[in-house]
Amino acid sequence: MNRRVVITGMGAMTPLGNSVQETWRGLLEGRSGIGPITVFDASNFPTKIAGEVRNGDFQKWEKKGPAFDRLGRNSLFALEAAQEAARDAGLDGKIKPERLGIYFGAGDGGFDFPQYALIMADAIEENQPVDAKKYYSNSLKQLDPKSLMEQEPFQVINHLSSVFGVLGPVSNCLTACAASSQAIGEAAEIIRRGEADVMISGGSHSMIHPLGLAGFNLLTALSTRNEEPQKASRPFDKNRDGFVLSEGAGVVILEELEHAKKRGAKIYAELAGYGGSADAFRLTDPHPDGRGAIKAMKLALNHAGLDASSIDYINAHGTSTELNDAIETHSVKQVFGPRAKKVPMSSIKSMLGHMIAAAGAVEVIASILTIREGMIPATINYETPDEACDMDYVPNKARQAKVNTVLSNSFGFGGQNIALIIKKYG
Amino acid sequence: MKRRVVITGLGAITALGEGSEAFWKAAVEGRSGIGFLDMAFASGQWKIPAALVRDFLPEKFVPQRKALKVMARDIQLAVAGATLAFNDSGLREKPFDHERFGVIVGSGVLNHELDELGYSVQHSLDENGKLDLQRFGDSGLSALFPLWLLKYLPNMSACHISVLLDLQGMNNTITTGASAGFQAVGEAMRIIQRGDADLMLSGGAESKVNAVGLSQYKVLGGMTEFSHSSTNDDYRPFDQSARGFVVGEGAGFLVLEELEHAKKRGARIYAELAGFGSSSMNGRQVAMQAALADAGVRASDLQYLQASGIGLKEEDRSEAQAIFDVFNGSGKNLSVSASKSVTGFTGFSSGPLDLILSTEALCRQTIPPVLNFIKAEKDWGFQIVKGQPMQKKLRYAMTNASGFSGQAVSAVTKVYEG
Repeated sequence: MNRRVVITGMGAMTPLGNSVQETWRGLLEGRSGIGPITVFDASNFPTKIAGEVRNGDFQKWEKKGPAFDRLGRNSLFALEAAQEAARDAGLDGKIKPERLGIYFGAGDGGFDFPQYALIMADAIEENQPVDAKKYYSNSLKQLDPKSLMEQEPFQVINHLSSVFGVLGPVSNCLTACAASSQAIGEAAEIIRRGEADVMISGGSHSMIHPLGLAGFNLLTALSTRNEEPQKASRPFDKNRDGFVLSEGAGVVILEELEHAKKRGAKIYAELAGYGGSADAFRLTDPHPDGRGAIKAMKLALNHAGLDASSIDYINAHGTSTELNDAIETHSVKQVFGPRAKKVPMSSIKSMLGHMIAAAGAVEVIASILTIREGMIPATINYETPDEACDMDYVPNKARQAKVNTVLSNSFGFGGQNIALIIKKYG
Repeated sequence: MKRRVVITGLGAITALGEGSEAFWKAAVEGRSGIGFLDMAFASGQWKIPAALVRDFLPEKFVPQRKALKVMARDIQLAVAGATLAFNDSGLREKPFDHERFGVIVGSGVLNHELDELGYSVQHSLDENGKLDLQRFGDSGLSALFPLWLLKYLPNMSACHISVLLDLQGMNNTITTGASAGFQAVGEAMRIIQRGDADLMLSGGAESKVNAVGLSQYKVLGGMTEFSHSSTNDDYRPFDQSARGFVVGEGAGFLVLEELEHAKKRGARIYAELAGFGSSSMNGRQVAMQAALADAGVRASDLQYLQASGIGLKEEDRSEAQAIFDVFNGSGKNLSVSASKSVTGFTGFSSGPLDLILSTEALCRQTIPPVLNFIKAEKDWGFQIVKGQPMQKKLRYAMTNASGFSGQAVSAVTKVYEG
């Protein structure tokens, strides 16, 4: 017998708000969550803007005990969003620990660069190689184990498993910009196999720290439209100049359908399809023909037992980089044929920026709400059409539409392609 | 019909050399790869015990110089380990469906090279020697290698492997700490079982034998203190005098294949991967029980367990207790081994390396001893193999990975019987 997987809870921390409702309202209003970077002095970086999470109520976590007193933004976002999702789903410790699992797409926690530089500076004589021995002994004096652990991408699942008392399967994947979509796809597979009945899934990430920003700036991947932060993320627009870094978390509670029905849970939607592939082409550029992206979308459709004609809306990866947006458009057209131009496809990254590992999970949440509320969020900042991007991107204004089935794309830096299909339940 | 998964390729790189054969031989002969990292600096000689992969030639596996330049040492090791496993499987000479062959790698934060970032930091200090982010944003940035981020992103190992071997199937990177590489193997198995691939390359690689990695392990606690100049017997998993681990580096990769696919191409089948289980960091028992149930095997059917045995007293005790509880008095026939005193603690690669070793053990019907183990702090109700390798009729092996804040993972392998 086929075990079906539904979504019974959602939580979000985003640059548009610290809950699912606030984020969704911002998305429908077409607001941008992008502004000048405030978490560190970025005034001399090529890029000085990002989408930051603001006013989080984080103090309660620190009071939870010694294991929680040095939490990084990664962990805080994840805990907040997971708590919202677990409450929303009414989990309340009612699930058997062995039947409750976690599959997360948490990114690496921030690297404390100023402290690192201090340790480093003391181990360098001008124009000499770094004195490793001195670096080592300086580190032992200055590094704090808990802060160090917060850098690790597995620390989030350790916190989550202890807060929610999880003893079922636990994993975390980090496939760059595709991570949390892949996590949701794999979490659903764990339920389908029968290894768990309920999974906490999603992702959290913040790369808004000096080395994160530096790394992306050096790759010239980021927008430098510093004077107009709210217009910087402009997927599919001809004048797009790179993505905008942002941060946050998105969490969904996945549950086996009969299990959800039995406990009278509210069912948001069904997770009907999951497909994944690798470009196996280059580290920085997507395959020019969209080979992997096409494959992932076809696999997801096949997995859901659906034809492309049954998709009502595409939640795009839509990063606002030159290559991604053109190749994603091309790939969708290969999968959808002549009908492609009639299918609305929007990118909420135009408002949220790119939450990297957490992006896909928030996009799944937006897809679910699109189905439930019959409103498609817009691609804002769409001003000048690009001949390479000639689909219906739901420009600038949210649109009312009956949507039963959504395809959500996520493509990771390095060539991992993930497609998910979310379907109306009932 | 259930799709069965078999192991058809092994690839190991350890301080003992290249290939799973070199690792196996050292393990049964009781040889350790642990030596000293010994370097001279202005502040004096820096000498620290470690299991280094000496004579590693990454250009043997990656002929393109440009590609090598964007790979941290962990990634170079991963590519090398994966290539060895791929070659071992005989697939290099055979046509296969590239869309049905995927990659999953266990990874995590990769340490940058000191001088690379050091040069940038030098350009970013103010008059008082403190980091000035305004200077960093300007001259510090231009002092960095432009592709710096790519060199250290955790998912790049899996990407490089997919590009070099043209593997277009499912691609994932697991970051669950010390057990990440083993978790990767388990998830690869699931992908074949559910029909999303016929072949998967999976495993992990880690290199923390450098100033950044060693200092972090030291701060986190767990690295052994050395009382004397000899390094050979200070790392002693499960021993009553266990004092911590020695950091090693390495790569362990396996080719997993759907049974019928393997038979059809006449592949060499090392063993069947029959069961897998994972849980949170406190779930060692749950993971072992899940793996047994998945394989349809009772604890009393097991003759051999390759333990995680990290060599930290608390961790070893908790693993031993979990084994004791799972076996519930039926452990008399169980022989337990651990390999980390041979290879050092190799982080993300440690689980796959242990699985490679236990697979060799099944093939050879021989269990390697726990190097340096003399006496346990109490009778755990099972036997810890010591001194000499043990010849034993083996049908199943269980392999564990856990500890050091990693998730608990267990797998059951089985002699392939057709």
